[in-house]
Amino acid sequence: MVFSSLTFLFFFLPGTLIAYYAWPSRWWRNTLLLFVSLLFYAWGEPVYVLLFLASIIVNWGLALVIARRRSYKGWTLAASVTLNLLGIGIFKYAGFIVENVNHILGTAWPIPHIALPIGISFYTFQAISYLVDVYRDAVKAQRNPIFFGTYLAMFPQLIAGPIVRYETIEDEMLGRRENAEDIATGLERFCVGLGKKVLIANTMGYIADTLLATAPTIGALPTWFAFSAYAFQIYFDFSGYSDMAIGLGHMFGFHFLENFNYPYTAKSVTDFWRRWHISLSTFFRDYVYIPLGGSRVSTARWTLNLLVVWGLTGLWHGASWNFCLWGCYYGVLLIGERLLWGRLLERLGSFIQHLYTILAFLIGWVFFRVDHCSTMAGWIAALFGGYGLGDLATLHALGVLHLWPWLVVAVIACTPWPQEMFRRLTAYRIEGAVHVSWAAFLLVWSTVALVVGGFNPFIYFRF
Amino acid sequence: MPSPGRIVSGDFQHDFESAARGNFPLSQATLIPLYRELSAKVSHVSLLALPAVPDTADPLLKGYRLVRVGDGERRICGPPTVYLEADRRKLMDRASYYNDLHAACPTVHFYVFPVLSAADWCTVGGLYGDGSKKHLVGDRYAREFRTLLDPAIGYAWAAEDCSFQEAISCYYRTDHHWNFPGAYKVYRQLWRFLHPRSPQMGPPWEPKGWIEIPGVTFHGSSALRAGRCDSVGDAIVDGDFDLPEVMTRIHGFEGIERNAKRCYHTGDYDKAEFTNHYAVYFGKDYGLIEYTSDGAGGGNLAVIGDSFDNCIEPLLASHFAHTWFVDLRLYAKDVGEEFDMDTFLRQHEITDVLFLGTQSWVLGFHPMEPYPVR
Repeated sequence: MVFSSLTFLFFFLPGTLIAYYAWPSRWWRNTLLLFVSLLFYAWGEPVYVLLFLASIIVNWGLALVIARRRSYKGWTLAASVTLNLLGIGIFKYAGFIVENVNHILGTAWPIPHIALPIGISFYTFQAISYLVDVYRDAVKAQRNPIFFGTYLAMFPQLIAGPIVRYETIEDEMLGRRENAEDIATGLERFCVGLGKKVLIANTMGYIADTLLATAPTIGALPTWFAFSAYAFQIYFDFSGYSDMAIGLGHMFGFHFLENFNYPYTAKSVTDFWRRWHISLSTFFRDYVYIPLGGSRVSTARWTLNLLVVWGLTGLWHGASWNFCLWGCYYGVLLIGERLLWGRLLERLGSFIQHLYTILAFLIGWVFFRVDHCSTMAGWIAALFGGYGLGDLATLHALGVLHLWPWLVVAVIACTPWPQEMFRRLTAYRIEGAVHVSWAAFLLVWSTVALVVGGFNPFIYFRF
Repeated sequence: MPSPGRIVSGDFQHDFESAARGNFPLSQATLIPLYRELSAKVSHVSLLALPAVPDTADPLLKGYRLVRVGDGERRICGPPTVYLEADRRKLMDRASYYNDLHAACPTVHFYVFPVLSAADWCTVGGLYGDGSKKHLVGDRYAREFRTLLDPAIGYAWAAEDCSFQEAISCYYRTDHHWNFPGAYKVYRQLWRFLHPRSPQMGPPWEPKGWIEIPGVTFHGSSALRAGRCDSVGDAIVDGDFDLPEVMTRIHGFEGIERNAKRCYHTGDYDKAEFTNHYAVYFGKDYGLIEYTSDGAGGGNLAVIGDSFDNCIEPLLASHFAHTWFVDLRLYAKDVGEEFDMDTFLRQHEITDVLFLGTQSWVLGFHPMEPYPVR
């Protein structure tokens, strides 16, 4: 089930909220959350819900073993992490690995075509973070399988993140205090996320899909239009989902950490990655980068570590070389900023810093979106005028030119300006009315857009 | 209760969401028209703010647009096809397939007859501006395909010999299919196309007159996809012909009503605003339909096609002793086996094969559907 569907908005969510608050007991509320989360997952994955259930039971048991058998806990952790990676490896990477082995060795092994279980990358990483944290004694192993299941399966963040660590909600699992303010904040945050997804991301997606189905020969102007739209699509799609997840968490008394912090206003690539998909970058920092030695190693080793981390970050997004290239591209930029041009960049004005970062992530999105090297080169050439300037008539013929005001909306909405505007309204004592009206407007308008145009799944579902 | 099979396949979930959307309160009367109106106004204003672009098309939703053709005639068109250099390889592959087929079965007459979309005709007619012509297909693939095909294979595209105005008038204003007068025009072109090699098929059928179904305004799939736009529509018009009796078998079974023409003539039809009258009136798509016409002089014709065939089936079938209409999108599902061209040609002693359908799959540049295997 997706948040941006009428089934979720008008059946699942109201039903869940009513049932949840009808039960006074914390134990029953957690049990209900687990049950509805499994239902939520099964709605989209009626078969793979069994795999997910197995993941819950196995990881719950393994964490208890790690916590109790102190003499073997290192081995148990290694086996647990391997088991989780094996699962994701089979479902996500088996086809990719066999295809590449065939290519390199000239073999003809049949390529397995296994459907990717929705959200497997997210719940596997959550499970790994939990197991490692239990091993490090950062959290206590959850003895109650229902509560552990509630953590791993909680529907707000189940299928497209953010990657919520157990330590974030450990205390809230039994000790949370739901209140009206949290519910109101959650509802507003949810509506903002829904608007980001349905009104902005879907429109941007339409522009990007239409233009990128053509060829780089359409010229520079349409190509910039296309990749700007794609950049906004992926941001509003994913940050919209995160907003909805955080908002839903609030409605049930949980406080997830922020996953985005206006990444497109960053002044360097390093800054960008402190603001983009924060839960993933902190996962890789804490569970891969630091165990590899972090920055307390020689420059050569550090460079290698960073490339490994970013190659893995890329591959986490999909079993394809373009994702690996995308990750390594950011690895190289981060190394460059640290060792070569970072200080020079700091001395340049804000405008240049923004320009550099925008160019860096736009080229990054070319690697991310286009999966064929020659086409990738073509689109990058097109960005820099390799196929001429292009014209507005082409954009009009392809039916996207009239959507340019949405790009302006997207530019404004990806900055802190709207938030600042709301903050200033507090001085006029109409803040409450503005928040309610704004949330209601977004909910109604998004619903109408869903009724008229149907729904699109989230981009991050496939990761 | 939904069956486990429907849940596992996701059909139940999909239908549930569709039902929620279809029955959403106020949607038909208030919300959707308001949304569409506002979108259209914003689109209009946004274009005014830009330097001059060809102003022949008002954007609606998702690439669909309201185009003005000729003197005030308005129609809703989908997005035009974009020209891609990479598609040339696919055109060559498909042409090789037809050439090989012809070489392997020299006694069979082969014909290839693609249908351009209304939006591609708009490209031909220059409605999107000359500047964008180099990026759009129009009739370019259709022209290029001719150079790739063995000249012994009959080749033309629907309404090839027509002007833009004539060609566009063959289509419903809000649907990707032909209207019946348009289909009849194409049928005459097909007859001229087939007759030289199959003279025994006799003269073309002439209509005694034209019948308009009273009370029907057809809002086709383009109107639906453009946000249920009902400002443009068409009457359903059919030709009145004295055709000989034919026997129809669908998937090998007799007695299945091919279409609901009789119901329409008695006023017994679904009057909902966006009913797919094309599919109901002319008959829905089936994987295999066989016509037997005892008095016809032509041989055995196989039409490998899609929904464009539906409205001209009776006309075409009345020229041949046996005619099979194969829709490859549905064949395996409906008939229960994969389509095999060699077996089919031998088994039914086919004398003529006509590939007729949207240019994307007849010319092979849009590999969305399975294609017949040799």
